[in-house]
Amino acid sequence: MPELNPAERKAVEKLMPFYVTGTLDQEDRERVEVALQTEESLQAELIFLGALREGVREATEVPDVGELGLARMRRSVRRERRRSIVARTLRPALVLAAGLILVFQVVLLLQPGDDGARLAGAAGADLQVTFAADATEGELRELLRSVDAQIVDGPSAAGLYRLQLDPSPEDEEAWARVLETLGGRPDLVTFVERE
Amino acid sequence: MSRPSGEANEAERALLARIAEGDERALEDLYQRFQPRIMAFANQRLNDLAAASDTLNEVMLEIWKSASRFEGRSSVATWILSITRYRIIDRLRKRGDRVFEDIEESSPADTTANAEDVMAGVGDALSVRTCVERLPPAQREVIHLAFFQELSYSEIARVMDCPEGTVKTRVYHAKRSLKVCLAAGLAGSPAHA
Repeated sequence: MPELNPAERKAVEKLMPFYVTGTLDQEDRERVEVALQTEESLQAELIFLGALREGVREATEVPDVGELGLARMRRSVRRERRRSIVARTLRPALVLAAGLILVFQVVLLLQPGDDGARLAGAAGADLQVTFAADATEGELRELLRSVDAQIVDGPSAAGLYRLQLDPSPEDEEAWARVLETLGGRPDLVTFVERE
Repeated sequence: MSRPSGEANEAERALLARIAEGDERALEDLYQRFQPRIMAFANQRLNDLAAASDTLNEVMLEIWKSASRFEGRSSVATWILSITRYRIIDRLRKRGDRVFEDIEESSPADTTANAEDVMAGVGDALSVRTCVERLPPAQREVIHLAFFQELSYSEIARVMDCPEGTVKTRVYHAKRSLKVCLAAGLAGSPAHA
């Protein structure tokens, strides 16, 4: 029988460990079997590889962590389960909170008025005003007392204050009197408007 | 380790599907099947029982979390051993070991090894263990994956993330080195003392 050429012999030798373990596909297996029939010296290689396989299997330490390892895995899995439950529970709440913040910001931005400079704070305010820059505290105190008003919010970035009237005017006539009083002092009040 | 049959692989895939649905019992069954293989693989590379045990736990937890991502393109064993290898590499890096070594893809000529001495050496488990331990890590790894885990060369290539040709070449050179080592005998060597 003709001998294998060196390249084919080497290629077959590379396949033989996997022939021994039975992991070759059909094509590779047949290639090895043809070579084994052609080259007798490969039989010795086959015997060596069979013994090596057994030797490696015998020599490989397989530490057994058995029940201890299983118990540890159970603990780890339960911890992981708790962690993912907490994450799943919190995620919708966080999404909801983020959504509410977004909605709140949008509402603020969409408030009608002058460039978003209006105040959107204290509940129960009746009026928005701006004061003259040179108005004194004493003048303003006197004016606000004359209409039973107090500052409940402000100033905003644009200098707006919110005023609450106590008692709140019961009818349009009372409102007109307040607006007339405040509007009648342009030296102190430069802008006045009902909420 | 005996190579799992197609039937066994189907059973393992079914277990993974159950694990993906949160079935802890299925994870325990998978643990019973793979614990020896994972421990043997981790221990041969880490040479540290406690670290191998930690690796086993990490691998099982990873399987628990990512079973739904198993695409079935490889056998379950290949997938699990790939996860194991990544965990081993992480651990080696953390302890400062060199993970990727320049592999010299050559080996001593085995023609000098007397066939009778080789066969005598290969029949002695201690000699085999000592000679395998003297191989470079990458060669030791392919020998383990080929002969203990009984993976095909294409499966080993997947696990080691390298070309199939590299796997065959590494096994070839490892085998030649083992022949020389086994023929030389271990009597009088420190490893045999």
